[in-house]
Amino acid sequence: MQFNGKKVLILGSGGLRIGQAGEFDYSGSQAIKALKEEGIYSILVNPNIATVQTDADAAMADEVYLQPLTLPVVTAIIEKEKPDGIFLSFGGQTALNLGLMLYDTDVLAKHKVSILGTRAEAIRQTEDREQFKQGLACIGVKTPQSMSANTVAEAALAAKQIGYPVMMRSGFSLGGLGSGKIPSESVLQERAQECLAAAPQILIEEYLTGWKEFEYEIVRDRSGNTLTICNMENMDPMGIHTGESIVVAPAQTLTNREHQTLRNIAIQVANHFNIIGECNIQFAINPKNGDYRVIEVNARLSRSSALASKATGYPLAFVAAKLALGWHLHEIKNSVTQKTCAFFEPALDYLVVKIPRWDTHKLKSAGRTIGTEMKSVGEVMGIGRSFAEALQKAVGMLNIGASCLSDYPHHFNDPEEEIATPTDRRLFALYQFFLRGNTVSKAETLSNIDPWFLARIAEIAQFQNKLKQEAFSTHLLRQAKQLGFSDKALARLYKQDEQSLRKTRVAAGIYPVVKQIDTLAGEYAAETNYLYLTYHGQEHDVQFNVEKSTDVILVLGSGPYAIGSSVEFDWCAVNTSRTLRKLKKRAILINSNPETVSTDYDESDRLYFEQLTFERVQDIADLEQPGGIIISVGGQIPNNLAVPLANAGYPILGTKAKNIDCAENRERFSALLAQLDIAQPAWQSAHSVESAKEFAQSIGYPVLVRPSYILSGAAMNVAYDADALQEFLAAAAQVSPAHPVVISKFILDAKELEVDGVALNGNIIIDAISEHIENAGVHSGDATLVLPPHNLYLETIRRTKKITREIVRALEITGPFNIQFIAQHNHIQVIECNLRASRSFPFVSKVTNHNLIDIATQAMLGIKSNKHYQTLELDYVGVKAPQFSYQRLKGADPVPHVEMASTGEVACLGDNLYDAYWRAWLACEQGMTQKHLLVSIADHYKAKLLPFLQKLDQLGWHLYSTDGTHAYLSKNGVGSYFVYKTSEYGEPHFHTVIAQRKIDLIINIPSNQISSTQTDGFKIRRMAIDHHIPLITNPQKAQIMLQCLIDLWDKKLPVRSWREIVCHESINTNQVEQQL
Amino acid sequence: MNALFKRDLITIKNLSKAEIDIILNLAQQYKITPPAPSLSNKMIAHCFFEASTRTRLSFETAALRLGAKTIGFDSDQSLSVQKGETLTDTLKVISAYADLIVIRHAKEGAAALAANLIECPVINAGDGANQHPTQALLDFFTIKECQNEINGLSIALVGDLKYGRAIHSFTQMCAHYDIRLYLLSPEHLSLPTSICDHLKKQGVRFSYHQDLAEIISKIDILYITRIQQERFTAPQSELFKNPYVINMELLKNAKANLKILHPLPRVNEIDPEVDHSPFAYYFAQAANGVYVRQAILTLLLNEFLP
Repeated sequence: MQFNGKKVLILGSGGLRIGQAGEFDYSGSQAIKALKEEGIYSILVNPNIATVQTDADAAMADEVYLQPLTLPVVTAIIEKEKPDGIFLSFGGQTALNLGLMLYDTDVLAKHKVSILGTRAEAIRQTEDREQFKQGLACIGVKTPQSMSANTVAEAALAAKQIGYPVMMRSGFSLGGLGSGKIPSESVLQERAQECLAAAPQILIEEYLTGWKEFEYEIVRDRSGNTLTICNMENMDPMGIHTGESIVVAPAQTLTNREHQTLRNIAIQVANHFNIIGECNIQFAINPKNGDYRVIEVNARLSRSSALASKATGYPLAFVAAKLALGWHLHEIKNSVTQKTCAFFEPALDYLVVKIPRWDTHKLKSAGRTIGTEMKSVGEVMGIGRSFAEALQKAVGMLNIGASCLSDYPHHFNDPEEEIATPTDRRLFALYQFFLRGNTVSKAETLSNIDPWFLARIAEIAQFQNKLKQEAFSTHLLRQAKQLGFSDKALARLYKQDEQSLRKTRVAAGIYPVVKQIDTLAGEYAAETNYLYLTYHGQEHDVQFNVEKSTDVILVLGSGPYAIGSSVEFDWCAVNTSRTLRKLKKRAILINSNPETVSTDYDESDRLYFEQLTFERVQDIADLEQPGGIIISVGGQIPNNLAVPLANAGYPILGTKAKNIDCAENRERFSALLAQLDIAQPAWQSAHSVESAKEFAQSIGYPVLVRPSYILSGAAMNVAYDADALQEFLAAAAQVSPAHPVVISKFILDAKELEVDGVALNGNIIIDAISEHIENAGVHSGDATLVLPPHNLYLETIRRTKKITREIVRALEITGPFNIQFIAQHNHIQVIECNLRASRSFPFVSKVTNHNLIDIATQAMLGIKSNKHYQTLELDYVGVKAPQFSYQRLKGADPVPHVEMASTGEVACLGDNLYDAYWRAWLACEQGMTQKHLLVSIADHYKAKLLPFLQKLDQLGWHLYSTDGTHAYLSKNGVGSYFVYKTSEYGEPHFHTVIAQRKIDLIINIPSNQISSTQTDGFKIRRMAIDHHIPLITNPQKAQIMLQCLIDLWDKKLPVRSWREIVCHESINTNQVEQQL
Repeated sequence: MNALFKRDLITIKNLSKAEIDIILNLAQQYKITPPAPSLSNKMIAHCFFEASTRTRLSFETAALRLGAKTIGFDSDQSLSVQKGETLTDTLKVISAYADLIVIRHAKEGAAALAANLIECPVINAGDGANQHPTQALLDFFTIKECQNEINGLSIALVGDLKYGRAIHSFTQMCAHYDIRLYLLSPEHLSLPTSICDHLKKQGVRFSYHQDLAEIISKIDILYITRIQQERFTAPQSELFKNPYVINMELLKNAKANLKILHPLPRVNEIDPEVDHSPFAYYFAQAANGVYVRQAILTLLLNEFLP
């Protein structure tokens, strides 16, 4: 039935984490756009403040709740807003699970809210493995042999029946958390226990490792019209999670007959579950006999559907939303092609390759091997006209130091080992394996990867060997470019510099052509603005300005999401583009990340789904002749292009490149601060271990050790003594041999604050001070931010503002900037300065209701503003909290330190610090059901936390503590249950109380940030993570958290929308209804 | 078959939670309906090597009400011990007459020694500063009686926690329940470390406090003991004068359900004006001694419950 309600609630996905990332900003945003087009009032619940979908922009939701996605909170929102319908399929597994809870608890029925799209019963059939299996068996579709288990004993029995090795999966999970190969009963005992702690049910399944893996994306309307929009093939076969696989679309190794079989089954499955909207179906195919299994059905938008959408240009989420509202496929216009209706299966005349982006190496002691659990934090998608071209383009998009396969910075001594036991580096190991003359069949034996893919990689390697042997020729150069070799890599092979190779190439008439994403197979002329570049082509599909125009602005996006560079920069790019278009500029966007909103067809005038490399940006700029290039809104990747682009004569908008370099280059920036008489922590650039030690001795330990150019604290570390320094120096030198190592004083017991702002020609237009809750020493990306600051001296604020003014003036800043400070009493020191939008820009913009990117874009265009912006005296508080993904990163020590580890963030607004903090904490998927708390606190911090614990004891909380803390507490009037530490024997043991789920929150404050996997503290922290028990490791956070428990633990939280809090508008529901 | 038949009761550690429940439930039954005399053919010896009024009379009353015959003494002044006879010889001789021996002695471990030595069941009625299990059982019987439920209670132990044997047995009982303990004692009379360690490992929450007024509003039971003057020399006892005195002023902030317990005799710990308040429960507590001891004697001496 056509939906005729007036109000729809959309559930978002919360903070970005491994397994659930930016793709849901894309799908949620498109769903909202679909509602807008229908004139339906949209209400969004999502605490992820860095997303585009939570914008106040007119194109986005009518009402946004930056609130935790929990049952009580969403229930309260439903009670208040009284929506007619709800969208569950646009916010990932989080929204789906929450939706089912709302359904099960009859909240939806009570308030007459209908689930739009696939019905709740059908969703449950796809989620519950037992129902799933039985349902598909009924229609004769094969699924892996599997048995569900609710206890460890049941799991053991099931495994025995199926036969080891078996596959273990956890029901109702995201990204395959807790799944893996179980070779024996003893491993099963351990893993099943762990999994059942997180999920009510686990699956023991037939082991299909080595089978080929395919995914089909399906859309289906309420009358049963069904399409397969895209099929995708995982290059890495079964055994490696789809999110960890290199994925190719369309599938490459299927025969037409096989493809039609799978397509038919996919449609049959979608019909069986009565899917209305979008779903994704995963297949495993036995390479030996073609036998198949349906592995999984996601009755919602997923990471794969986002990829499929970007791969085909088919707006899957938008169409899914329309179908959920009751439209038929043939009634919906395909707004990308402009020519077709949505009832048209895309046909691709190109192919795309997705490669995941991992950051496991940034997390000390986390394993690098990849498998059935997702660990990657982002992805890129290369579009090309050959597999080689698309693959190598994708490599250059990853931003891991390789511009294509040939210049990957790591040399493998034993590539075979890497291939057989895959890590994030397997692709590069394969390449080097082939460079050394090894065969495809040997690689196939080691990896189970289809020989078709291996042969393509081998061809690239063989070509590189040929290039080295043969003399330079334009013919070879053209071939190299068609195979996807970068100018940079070719320059290296030919021992030239990149720019001179470029000149040679252009002079030889070898340049890429611009192609449209053409999914119409030539049946109609494609009219899309969605573009890519290829060397396989004769002419451009689009027209270009002949002369440079100031109305054309190139905006460089963020590239892949990684730790330290995430959805916040997509928000910045989208908002830049929106402002440009409002100012009647032509916004041309470049980005390489399929999980983004900026790569949506309607967010720019032209979209290049392309590499953010010096080479490719030049290619595009040469064609488009932009009046300016904005490099300061996409994070560090485009920021690093400022100097080379400016040197090559391209017009950079905003702060001058030489001044950007001055802020980035430690020596130059330090000299500037000295000249301005601004304090900074003592530091020295050391060229030898001896001089480093000497300097560290002179300033006193602890010291911070880092390479001079940094991205998200990579390779940073704190040395507490000379031995540790020696150890870290070895590692840091490996990371960046071109740069000396910087040793600086590591300041403890100091406050950290940052200023985000916008300036024009060295004058500040707007600035906002945020305070870190954690003392100095925690990376700013992992810190909890409070805005406005709640615990700073007025004098500190005054001095910080003055220093900011001086730096802004000295660097003649135009556009966005971010400066970080350390404050000890009223002594202010500057630690970092970025002349680009920072990760806190969306937070600051949405808390103050002044869009910093909008202001910055205008500033970069030279538009003056005389407006005065208030950012300090707000009558509410915003708290931004990091979202960690430690659960997925087995072995990583979950203590925030100088290297960033969080994968996302959330932010909530509240009446005061505690209100806002508590909501933000709940919004990070944390929660407590019982008043049970375990404390294990280093001596130094015991006294600080005592008053809170005394209060909780009085309030009837059950406290558990380890030895030292127990003695301290009992002496100070606090009774607690004693537990043995992991290194001790005896009951009650820490291990037992955790496994029995007697603890709801663990506060473990280590004495310092030295990470050692040998300590009791580490084991406590790791166990907390593995058993999904909320953990606090920072003393300042612990104080606030404990106060929240005292004040707010069992209180019903009143819910207010962003607009009600920030704009002081109370919604008059009657009025809204009248308007509608 | 009754599991406690022919067993010794030397310390609470001899008992499982289930056995404790059996004793407390039987005592409860006896309090409502006086038992038939099931021990009419039994001889119980009350060997009080150390002076006692309440405990001895309570045991004797229990025995007599159950129809048993009793022998014994209430001080070692009149004994052959005075003539140089050893404890072991004395007990061996008495065990030849009695079916059960109730022993109190000034030396820690005396009851255990007796139990090892002789065949018939031995009940420890207090051995020096060590244990007094029947007192703890009657204390918990009383707590259950006045608060309905033992789990979840907050209990303050006040006074001489170092030498108070009733306290020591009391803490052993705590291990069987989810109890929050507040410990208040003069500085040199705090609970022995070994006992604290035991409490800790048994999952009992406890904390140390100085000021009774500070915690009075949090507790359900206030268990106070006298300073065990007999364990000190005269100048020492001056040093350990009890700093804790309960009066109506202090009780102003008490919870309505607070009950005060005391193993008695009291010296000056409780102001007599408190006796008339609803908080006073120490005399009811003393009266309960008979029911609990009846239950214990019945269980130790009957293979099958009557």
